[in-house]
Amino acid sequence: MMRHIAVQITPFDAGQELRKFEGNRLGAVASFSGIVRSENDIIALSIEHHPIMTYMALEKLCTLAEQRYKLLGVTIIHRYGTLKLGEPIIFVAAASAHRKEAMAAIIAIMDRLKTDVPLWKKEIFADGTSRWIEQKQSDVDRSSAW
Amino acid sequence: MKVTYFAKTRELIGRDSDSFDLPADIRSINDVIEYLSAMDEPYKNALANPEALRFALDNEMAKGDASIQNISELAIFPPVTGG
Repeated sequence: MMRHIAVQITPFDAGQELRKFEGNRLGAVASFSGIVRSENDIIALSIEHHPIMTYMALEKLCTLAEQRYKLLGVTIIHRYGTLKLGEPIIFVAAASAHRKEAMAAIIAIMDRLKTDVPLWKKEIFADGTSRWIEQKQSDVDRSSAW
Repeated sequence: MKVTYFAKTRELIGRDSDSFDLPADIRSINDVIEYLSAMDEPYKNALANPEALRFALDNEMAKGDASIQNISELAIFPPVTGG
């Protein structure tokens, strides 16, 4: 079982993270990358984490996904700090014997992460103002589905 | 007891943590929220709608009615928005 969790300020290389799964006799590796997107004049996102709980919650999420989807490996990297447009925010990869479990695990991890992991995003706008993003009911509904 | 604040709650209160010697009749998270709300405006504003806040006791998520007995740290924050 290969597990890699990181809550970090520094950027990551998604390609490099995926290559870590090579040669491990896995049948399937699925992944998701989240990137800061251009919307409503946003120039950056400021992401806040909890120094202890964020990592703990990601560990719990990995354990849940490993058990439910028979994963052979899982990686979750979430950044914090100020991230500009186009910068990577999150990387999730799941490895299993077959594609179905790996792909389902990615969706489930992302859905749960949006409600269970202490992380908060603030939008920074071109005019210097900012606004905390609020949790969406649709995220809560999706998360409670699994 | 140490009380820590995150995200919008931290910004509204204007600091990231406090340390309090709480009166003996403060027994639950809800009691602490009520106690803090009576302190001054920033606390009152930040904690005005406890239903919309989330809590953790010693790094474990907890409901408002949870006891704070033997707890050293309470964290108060808005619903999470990562990913």
